[in-house]
Amino acid sequence: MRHPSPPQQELPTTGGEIQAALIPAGAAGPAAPASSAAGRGGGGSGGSFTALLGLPTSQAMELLLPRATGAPPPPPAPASAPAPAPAPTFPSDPHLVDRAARFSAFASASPSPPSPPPPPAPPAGKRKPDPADRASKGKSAKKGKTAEEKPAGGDGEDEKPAYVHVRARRGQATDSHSLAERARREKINARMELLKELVPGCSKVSGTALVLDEIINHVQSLQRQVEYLSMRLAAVNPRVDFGGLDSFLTTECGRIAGLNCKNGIDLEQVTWSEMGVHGARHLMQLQQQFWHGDLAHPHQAASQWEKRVDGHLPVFSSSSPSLFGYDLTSSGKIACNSITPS
Amino acid sequence: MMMASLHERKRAIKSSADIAMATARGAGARWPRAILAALSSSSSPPGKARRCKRIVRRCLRARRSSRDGGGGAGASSLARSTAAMMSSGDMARRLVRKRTKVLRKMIPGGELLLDEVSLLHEAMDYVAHLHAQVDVLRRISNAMQ
Repeated sequence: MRHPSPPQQELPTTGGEIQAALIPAGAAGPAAPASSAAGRGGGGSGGSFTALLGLPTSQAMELLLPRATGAPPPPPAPASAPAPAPAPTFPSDPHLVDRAARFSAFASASPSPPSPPPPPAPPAGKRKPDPADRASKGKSAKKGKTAEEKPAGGDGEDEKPAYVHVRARRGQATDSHSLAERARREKINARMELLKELVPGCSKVSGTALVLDEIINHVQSLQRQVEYLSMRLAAVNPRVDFGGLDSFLTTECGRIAGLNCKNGIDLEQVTWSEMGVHGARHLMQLQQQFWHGDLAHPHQAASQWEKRVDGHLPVFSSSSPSLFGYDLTSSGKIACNSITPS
Repeated sequence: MMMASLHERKRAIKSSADIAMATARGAGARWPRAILAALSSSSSPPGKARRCKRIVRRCLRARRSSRDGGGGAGASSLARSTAAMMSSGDMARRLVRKRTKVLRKMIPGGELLLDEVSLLHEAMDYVAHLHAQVDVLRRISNAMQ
């Protein structure tokens, strides 16, 4: 058996011949990539698929010799022997080889919404590279991820429409509805994984219901915290006008949320160091109102404020009085570039 | 200077925070629209939201903050097997449906979402922003003491 390096040279040329052979089935071509994407996405990693490719390629090479001599491919036998007989499905293998690169991209991306594979796909697609699949079935059968589709009663046609394999799970139905359902399930599970990362203390919990429970509790607690904190701010000083708070909060919420989504949830690492001038000004305004309204405020902090304003210090040390000393682990460093005391 | 009652002030603060959070999120999700629709009608509506939008635009221009959405396509077979063990998943399905309903109520605009996938997506987004909101409010209130 030849396992040559020349496949690179020969495949393109034979691709032309094979495509010519597949012209009658060309209508199914456009549908195939879509359903193949769905199949791939449903199958998760394309590793088993590429393992499949090794065999069909070499066997396709076997096929090329008789094809080059012009011998027409013999009609397919549904239950074919593992011997490299020219099975009917081989003409479509180069198509698969072409699509392999695309599949690896599909495999890593999140599963695209599956267009229900065309109805003729499952029956015709079942007679796909049987020898290759049988061989790989032994490899991946136990994995539970992908399983060979049982060729459901050979159709006995001569030509194979170039449908894509649809990988069914072991023991599960393969009609279009359950495929779409399965893809949807996978999407939901992917989102649940992300949510589990977002919600602290959820990674050990398994089972959709429990995870949802945790998420609900977490959202409730967050909303309650917002209520409590806003109550606290309201109680701070009746004479402070919080009307300008929303513009300041917009900056901060956007920034912190952006950081959160990028780095995962590590609020403690967020510092003020990137706070925009605008936001800083608002905070200073708020605090100024606070201080002017509150006579009992310690003068130490007030003098610190003036010192900082005069000096235009770029970084505020964390050893400052409690006013700027945040209790959070991230020491609050405020970068006030150009604060104009209003 | 406002001499309104405590509760009014708290409500004003909270609505400011919510408007800020919703505006900061932008148009990529559904819940911000629900928040802005609910809140904007009551208080000084166009002023606040518009101001927030201007600020967001400025921030985005200054610093291109691109957010990656996560994209893991792994099937949690563990979850599936656990669910299968629970009396063939019937009970689990009922619980899941109940909790999905609860989640829908808690997330602003969740009732309008039809499928579970986008509901989970919205929930993810909303939780991330709630984290930010809580953090910011806590820092402010600490600074105010």
